[in-house]
Amino acid sequence: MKSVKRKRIVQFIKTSSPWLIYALLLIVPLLFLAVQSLVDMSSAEESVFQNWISVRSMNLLFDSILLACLVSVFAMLISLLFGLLVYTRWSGFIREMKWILLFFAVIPPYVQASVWLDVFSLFGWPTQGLLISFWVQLLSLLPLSLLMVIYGYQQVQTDVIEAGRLLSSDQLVLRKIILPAVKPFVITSGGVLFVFSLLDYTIPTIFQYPVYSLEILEEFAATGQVLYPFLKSIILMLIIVPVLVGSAYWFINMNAKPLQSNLSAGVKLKFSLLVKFGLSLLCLLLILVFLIPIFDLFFRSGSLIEVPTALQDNMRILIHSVHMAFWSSFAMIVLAYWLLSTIRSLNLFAWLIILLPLCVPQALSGLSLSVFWNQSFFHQVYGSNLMLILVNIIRFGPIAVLILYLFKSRISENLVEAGKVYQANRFRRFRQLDLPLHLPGIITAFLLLFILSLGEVGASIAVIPPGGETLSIRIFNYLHYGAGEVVSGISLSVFALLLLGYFLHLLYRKTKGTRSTQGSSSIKTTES
Amino acid sequence: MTLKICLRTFFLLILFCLVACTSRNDALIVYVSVDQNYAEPVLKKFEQQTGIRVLAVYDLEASKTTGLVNRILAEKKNPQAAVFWSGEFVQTIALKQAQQLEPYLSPNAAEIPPQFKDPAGYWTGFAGRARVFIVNTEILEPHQYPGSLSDMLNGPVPTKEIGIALPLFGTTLTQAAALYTIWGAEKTDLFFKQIEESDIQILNGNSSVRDYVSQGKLSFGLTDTDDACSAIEKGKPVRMIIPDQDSLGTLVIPNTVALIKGGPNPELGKKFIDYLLHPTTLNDLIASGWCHVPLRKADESPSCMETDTILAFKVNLDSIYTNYVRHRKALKQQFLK
Repeated sequence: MKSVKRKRIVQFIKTSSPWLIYALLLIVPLLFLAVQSLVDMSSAEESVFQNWISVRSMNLLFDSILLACLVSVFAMLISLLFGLLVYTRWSGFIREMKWILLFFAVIPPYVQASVWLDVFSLFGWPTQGLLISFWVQLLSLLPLSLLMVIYGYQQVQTDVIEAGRLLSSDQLVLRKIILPAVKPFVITSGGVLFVFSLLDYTIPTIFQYPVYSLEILEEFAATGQVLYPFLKSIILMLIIVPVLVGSAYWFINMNAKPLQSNLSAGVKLKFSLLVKFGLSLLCLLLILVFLIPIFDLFFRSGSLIEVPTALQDNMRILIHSVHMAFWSSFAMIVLAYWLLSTIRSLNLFAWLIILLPLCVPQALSGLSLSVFWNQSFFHQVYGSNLMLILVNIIRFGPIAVLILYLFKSRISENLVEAGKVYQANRFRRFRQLDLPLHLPGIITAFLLLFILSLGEVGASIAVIPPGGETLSIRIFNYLHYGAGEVVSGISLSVFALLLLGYFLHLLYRKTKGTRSTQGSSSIKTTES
Repeated sequence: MTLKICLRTFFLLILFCLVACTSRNDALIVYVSVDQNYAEPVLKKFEQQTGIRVLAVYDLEASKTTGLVNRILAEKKNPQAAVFWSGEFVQTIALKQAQQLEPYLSPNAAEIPPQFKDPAGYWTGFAGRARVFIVNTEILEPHQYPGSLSDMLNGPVPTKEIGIALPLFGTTLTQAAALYTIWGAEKTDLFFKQIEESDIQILNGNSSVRDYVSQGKLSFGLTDTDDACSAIEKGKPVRMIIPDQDSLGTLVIPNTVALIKGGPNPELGKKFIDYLLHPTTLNDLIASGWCHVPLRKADESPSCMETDTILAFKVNLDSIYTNYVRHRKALKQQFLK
């Protein structure tokens, strides 16, 4: 009897541990801040509530929503079209664009801000306000949307398309089969981007476009109390929660459908001349978007000779930033994997709890960590580099769970059950079955989290440890002071490293291709 | 199960290693509320000269110079930094009032006028900046240039062509507090009421004022000398005008440095304070374009200034702080409607 009870307790601890850790890292700091705000509320003056909803803040909110809508709509449109280009396998170059995109997605948003600031002023376009804020925010968030939509395209069942093509035109197949299948992914990406844009104050601040989320940070700066930013955040969260719930609804629904076991490699469709022209134009624009910053940086710095000096100057901070982003992504993946290993499916309420940290404004997330971890029993953590990892976890942890869940839902239950029956050794089962099955999800999530962590500034500024400045924070700060040469140096070194990485990747693929060709020819020889 | 336990233990170990790797026992931790591009070279030079490792946290423009002060106050029970170097004085006095500072009278502060340092040594002012007008020379003729703060409301330039930063943060708020000290509450209240009711552009910060004037979106605006100088050095069509030089003078804002109470390695902190108050560092700060009012004898002179002498407000900095505390809420209510 005792042993059964003990087993139950052990089982309970095993299943609840990841949830407790998730709660401790992501939920408890926010609740702690909420409680602190309620305590402050009892001694607050009446004017706090009078100024809570002012005309000024409502105007700011309207401007923020406008920016977020623009970013979200354009990102959905571009992702839909670019995804179509990749999916319909237009040319080898388009497929290559996918890789280029992945490499350039790693560029921190503030490097984008720096180069586009330069490009806009070169053409005499406004370097402040809505247009440039929209453009830079769009470019910085676009990879996230592209990734989701391209994945959506890969879920379209090829055999259904082929059956459709036998009976009607390619355009009709696109309209009736492909686009409806991709729709949930596009809408989800739009919702996520809307939320990310609404929460971000860093890019609009650089271009002097006042947004509501900056008001939250300013409230704390002006008062030094958490109550004021907390109250301001509630209004923003009231807008974000329904959008996120809507996105989660789409997300859960699309997971309810049985998905293919293999990702579709795409189909070659025939389009009308007009569609071809439109897609070519988009392609050209995307190429320009990637080429312009590179040319701008090289022209600004004078020559390629500057690269080694720039690299030498910024190497320490580059390594530190990559280090932090790597460990943050690693920690998030482990936690998300562990968490999902305890459940089979999640209901809407559980999703809401998991996604809650995504709804919180950046400034408030940072504040909650600084308030919670600055307790006497956490002194070893507070002020250390671990705070930067905790910031990334609280900001992007829910995304790790989302992605791993999406990939996990594609894994056949039968395979997992068969593994349990035929392989009793847990280690071997993990190595031979679980890990290979989860690997695509793990890699996708890791890359996305790495990119997001590398560009995090909004919450990090509240907890940045002494000497722990990251690349993004440095660029963000220097951009404010107008120290163009320092920003150029950092940006140039980032670009140089990315180009090097891309060429190494090309070389690797080429070598791998040669080897596989050699391999297949030797098989043919043996067969013959 | 064993593998899972191993993986989790490995993960936790790595995380703890990361914590352990950031050993700061022998380092000097400085919180810097000065623009990073000016402060960083000073810290690097200090490191090179003394061999002391410096770990800095810089304030962001977005947190309006109060970010680090709020952080120091929050770290009351667990002070992280030894020294606070600020680009202005009000927040430093606020820290003194909150009993977060440790007195230290640096021998290098002897030449600094008593107006710019705390008599008990809780903070020391050095390397000042000033509040000035930045004027677009392509829009305004010399006879239209503003000479006094009152010209913002009663001058020849339409109010919609004039800019000022939101007087709720930074040096604009400090200037408001200084005006309360000099003009008194009635006149200053009226001044800000008229600003609020007029078409004067209320911008997000001093750098915005600089940019708007440089780009010709505004004819002139009120900003700091470092912002005006950076525009002049970049060849923008602007000029700096120091207001009220034939009457009250203008607000001079010294940098301040202070030792944080209970902070780690106070001896290293004292060495850094001595270094910061040394005449050589003052020359470096003038040469870099951060300091335009040296407050003491210096070999260097600011390249963008047309005059060597600035008539400063003759006020006690503590009294400006008192007015800062007294009127900040009213200003907030007035401008955040």
